[in-house]
Amino acid sequence: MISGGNSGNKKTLEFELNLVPFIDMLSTCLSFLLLTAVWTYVGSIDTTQAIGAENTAKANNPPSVVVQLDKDNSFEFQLKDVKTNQRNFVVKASQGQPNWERVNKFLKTLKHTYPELKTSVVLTRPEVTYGHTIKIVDSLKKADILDVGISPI
Amino acid sequence: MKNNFAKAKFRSPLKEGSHIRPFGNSIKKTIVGTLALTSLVDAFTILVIYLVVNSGPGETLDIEAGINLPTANVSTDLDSSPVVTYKEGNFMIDNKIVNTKDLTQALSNLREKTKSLFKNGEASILVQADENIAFDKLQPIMVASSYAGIRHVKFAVLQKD
Repeated sequence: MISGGNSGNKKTLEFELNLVPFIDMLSTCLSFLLLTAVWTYVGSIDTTQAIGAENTAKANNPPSVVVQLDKDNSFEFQLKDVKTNQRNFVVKASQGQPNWERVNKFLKTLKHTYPELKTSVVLTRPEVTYGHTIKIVDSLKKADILDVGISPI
Repeated sequence: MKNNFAKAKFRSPLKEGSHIRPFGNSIKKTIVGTLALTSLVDAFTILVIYLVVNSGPGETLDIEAGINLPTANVSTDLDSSPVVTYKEGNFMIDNKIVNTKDLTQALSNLREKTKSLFKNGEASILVQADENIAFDKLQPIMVASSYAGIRHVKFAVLQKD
């Protein structure tokens, strides 16, 4: 709305935008976005596995770590194709539950010591829960060991 | 003079302070209330922009009732991989229950059907299961996907961050 044009000496030009339709439109947009917003983000953990009867016995295998979660919730780590004297490590359970803090710490140290380590195989016993299996894959990926496979024992 | 004195004597500070009818005179005045709408529009605009920007990734997943997905810190966004759900001892593909012995065939068919969706022709599936089940319950799907030529098996998780 433009008002002005008084016949007096002082001419005022006051421009006033009608904001009501804007508010209507923004309210509608806001309601729509709030109703359709995704509040729980679902992602995926990717694993790679061998196809069919692929034979990797003669293949030039990259340095890898084999992780095994035992039924007492302790972890066994075994290094493969890595130049080292000590290949086996164990992270024991804490009060019957997996000690995730120590596992994460250990994996971080392992990756720091062997930066070429990018592959891992997780061996799961039948009693191990799906949640724990995913958590160890997540820990491995967090330690930048990105190529992870799962193999049931 | 007498009237003026009377007026001065009975002047009410309350009435003088009133916005609606100052000095308490009986002249009718129109009351126009102006609401500062600009700040409201600003706030709405900021909210709309925030919601549009954070409206999440394109693909969504319907989580089956009674399934508590595991949580993970390092996860990737969902893609258009076919979903295989394990619930109450049954495997479901496209919301249809599939027998364990028919899983390989069903996954092979699924792979052929959804070939165009995958990058570089590498098939993948997305497994949705409860975090408290034993992992060996999912072994049939791992084996079947291997035989069906599906190299990438993805597991649906709730993103922590």
